[in-house]
Amino acid sequence: MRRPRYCMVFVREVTAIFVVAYVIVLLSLVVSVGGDPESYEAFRDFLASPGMLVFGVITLLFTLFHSVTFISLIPRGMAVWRNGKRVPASTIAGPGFVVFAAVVAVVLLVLLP
Amino acid sequence: MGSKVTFEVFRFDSETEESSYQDFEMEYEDEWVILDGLNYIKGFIDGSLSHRWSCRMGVCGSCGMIVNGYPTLTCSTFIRDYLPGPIRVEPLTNFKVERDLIVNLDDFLRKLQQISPWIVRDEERAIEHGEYLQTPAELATFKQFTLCINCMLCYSACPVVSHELNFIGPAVLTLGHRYNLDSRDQGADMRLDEMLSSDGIWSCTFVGECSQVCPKHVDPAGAIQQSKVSGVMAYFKSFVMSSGSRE
Amino acid sequence: MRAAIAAAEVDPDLDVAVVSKVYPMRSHTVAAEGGMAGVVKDNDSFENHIYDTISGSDWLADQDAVEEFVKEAPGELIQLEHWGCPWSREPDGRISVRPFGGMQIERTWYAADKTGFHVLHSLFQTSLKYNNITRYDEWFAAELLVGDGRCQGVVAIEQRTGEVHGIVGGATIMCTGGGGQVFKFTTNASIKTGDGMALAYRAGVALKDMEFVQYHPTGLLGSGILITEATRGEGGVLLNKDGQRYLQDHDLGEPLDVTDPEHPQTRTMELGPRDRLSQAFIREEEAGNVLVGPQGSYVHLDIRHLGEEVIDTRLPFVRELARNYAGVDPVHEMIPVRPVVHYMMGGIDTGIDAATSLPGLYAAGECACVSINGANRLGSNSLTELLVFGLRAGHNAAGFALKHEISDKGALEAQVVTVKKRIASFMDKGHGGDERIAVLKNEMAETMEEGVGIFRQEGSMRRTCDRLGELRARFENVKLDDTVLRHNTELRAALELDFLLDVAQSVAFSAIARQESRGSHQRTDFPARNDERYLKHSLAYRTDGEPQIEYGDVTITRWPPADRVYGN
Repeated sequence: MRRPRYCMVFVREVTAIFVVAYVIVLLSLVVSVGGDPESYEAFRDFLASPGMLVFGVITLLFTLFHSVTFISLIPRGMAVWRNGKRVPASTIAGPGFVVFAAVVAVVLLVLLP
Repeated sequence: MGSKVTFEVFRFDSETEESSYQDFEMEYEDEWVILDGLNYIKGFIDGSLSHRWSCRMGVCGSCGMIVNGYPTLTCSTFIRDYLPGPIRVEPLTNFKVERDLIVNLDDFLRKLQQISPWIVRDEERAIEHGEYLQTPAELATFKQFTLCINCMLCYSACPVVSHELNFIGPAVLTLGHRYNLDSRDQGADMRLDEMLSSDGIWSCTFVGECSQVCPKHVDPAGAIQQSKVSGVMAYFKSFVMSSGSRE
Repeated sequence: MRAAIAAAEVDPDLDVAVVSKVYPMRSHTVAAEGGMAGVVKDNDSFENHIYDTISGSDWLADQDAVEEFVKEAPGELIQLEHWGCPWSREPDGRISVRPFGGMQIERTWYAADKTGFHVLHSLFQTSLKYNNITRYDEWFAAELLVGDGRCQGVVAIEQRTGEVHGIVGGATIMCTGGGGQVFKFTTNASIKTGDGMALAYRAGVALKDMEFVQYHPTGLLGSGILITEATRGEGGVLLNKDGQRYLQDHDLGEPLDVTDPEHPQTRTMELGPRDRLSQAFIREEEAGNVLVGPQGSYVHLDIRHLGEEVIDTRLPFVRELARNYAGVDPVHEMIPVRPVVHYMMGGIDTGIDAATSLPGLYAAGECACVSINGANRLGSNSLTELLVFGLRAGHNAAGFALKHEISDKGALEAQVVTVKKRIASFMDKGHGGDERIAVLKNEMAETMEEGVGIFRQEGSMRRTCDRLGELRARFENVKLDDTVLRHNTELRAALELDFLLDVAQSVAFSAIARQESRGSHQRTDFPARNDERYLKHSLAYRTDGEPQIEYGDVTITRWPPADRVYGN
């Protein structure tokens, strides 16, 4: 990987694998909730295992990386013009980050207590 | 004067299909660009070295090469920025090499024509009626995308081009987008057909390396993303229009 | 490109071949910066543009040609607009114009400061829509095919394979540009080796007014890269080592302060014609008023007062070039400049219909000499000339081709074989030669600069003529390293040098023959204009020895020769 950009795009693509894996975990969770309580308990223990915690953290970091790079790339694909001048990238990406942070905050507020 | 530098130059003989790197040591001057070094080699050391060049002011687009692994316009980069050397000069990647530093551009020219890079009008305005009006703001929307000098660095840098031979590629897609944005043009639908094809904009994975190497800051990666947005909009519009008309 | 489109439009069944030694988008039109002149605004008139052009030419232009040129210019500029050229605009959407040197009213259309680039790419991209245009990219024309007393195509080397082919055609148009490479310090690209001029010259066509070589007053110190006249059109000023606007001492009027709303004044000071500004530099140099650095003497071009916004919207390329190649940012620093060889007023002798004396051969652009430029071209007339006379050449050549079948095919084929043999034996001989192309070329360029620079006189011109003869003889012994046929750029360089030597000789011998000073041809031994003897076009004909110089009449219609007056 001589070129950092190639590397970055590769990592971005790799994030998808973790997201898919996490979705599978979630689906299994749904299945186990519908099953008997013992299997649900077992599944909870499995989720609390160190390996799964590490997996969760990595997935979180990757999705964060994906979200941040996605939002910062929005202005490249969106040319907004005002008074014959291109609206600066920060003006477009800024609100994107604000909305993203707000959604995260709301989710955290609902879930954490 | 007096300082020496070594160029490691890629040599390729299309008759024997043999390739090698040849070292040339020379004295250079502080204001020399890489191209000056190559011309010195050709003029005074080995006349058989073949490379393309012309304007030496970064506007004709002839002298794109790979310098120390990176796609570079050799008339616009200075030897002093690569010291102490050696400086490795190779032909552009993602193109077939014809001889030494000269690559085959046939594919590019074919793709260029494919995108219809000219103003398309339903009805041509007569010359006597003067120019089409276009405000500075309308001009500004596409001006940046007119600045491509066809130097091919973006094709060399693009990882998609390297494994999808038919990918239309950064410069040509940007040019298509340029005409689509031009307020005088009415050919966007026709051009989008080509641009939205399997070899078009959706092949782009937005690595962004094309914009990184572009010596004229044209931002092909941005142009392609904008085209994707226009393509999606056009699709939804046609969807709404056709379902609307059915009722 | 303009001629090809024009010919293709005459009849869709016509087969138009574009033969070029480089890909069309590499052609040197790409490097033109400032703009192109055409009368469109209400405050302007054809009469004004005609007068500016004729007085700018020091009355050597053919006035009927200038008149038609000026009248056809606006239509061609609009045509280019319809083809997509991104012209800079007024807030209401109309074309924007800027003032240029030697013009009394601002009439130069521009696309920021990359006008030539946009013109070339617009034309090239538009040409792609014509199915009857076939391009022969990277084919090097080595000789004109002449049979039955007319030009019937070219013999060209396909550089990719090294093979020599004949390309026959009912008519042939030369659009090969100038030959600035005969000089060392030039804005011209490496490809500007006067090929078309030499090809026609060898086929017996005269080269007209070759002594008139334009020095652009603002070439970037060191590299000679063009810093457009638009810098001055926008209000830039030239300063000597004392920071003084020295042009006022050289009969170019009185300066206004750069903050004055009337600045810059047309036909005054920095907006004087190029010949006078370049000559003023040499006078200042003689008086010791210029700056001197390791790369030679120079003056300062100051555009700082325009401010970053104006520079970035109207002169972005100048900023890019100055920063990259001279390490100065014109927003904050002054640009070091000196006069640089830029353009050849002379060229293939053509009439107002773009035809040459050889039936079937046409020429347009810098390689041709109609002449609308006379002894000094005004900035922004040359790009317009490409269009107006490109169109005429295209139409007329197409008409000629439709009326003339290819004839005397046997002779044409024999000529192709002869050229093949000539090139093969040239290569063979070259492998035993010992004169390096680069050395010969440098020596030629040096002697041209010494003998036929901005100011000329008998003795140094004579030395240059003699040196060129010696170089011609040494060329017989030129050394070629490359034995491969494919992309043999060394062979091409040698053939180009062969052409350059022809062009150089025509310049030097035409110059020594003209014993007067007019426009860009200034002789210290004959400092005055001499209309009685030299209100004539020079015509250089090729012989086996020195060029033979003859003279032809200048067409004067309504503007009798007068003094050239500049300044407010």
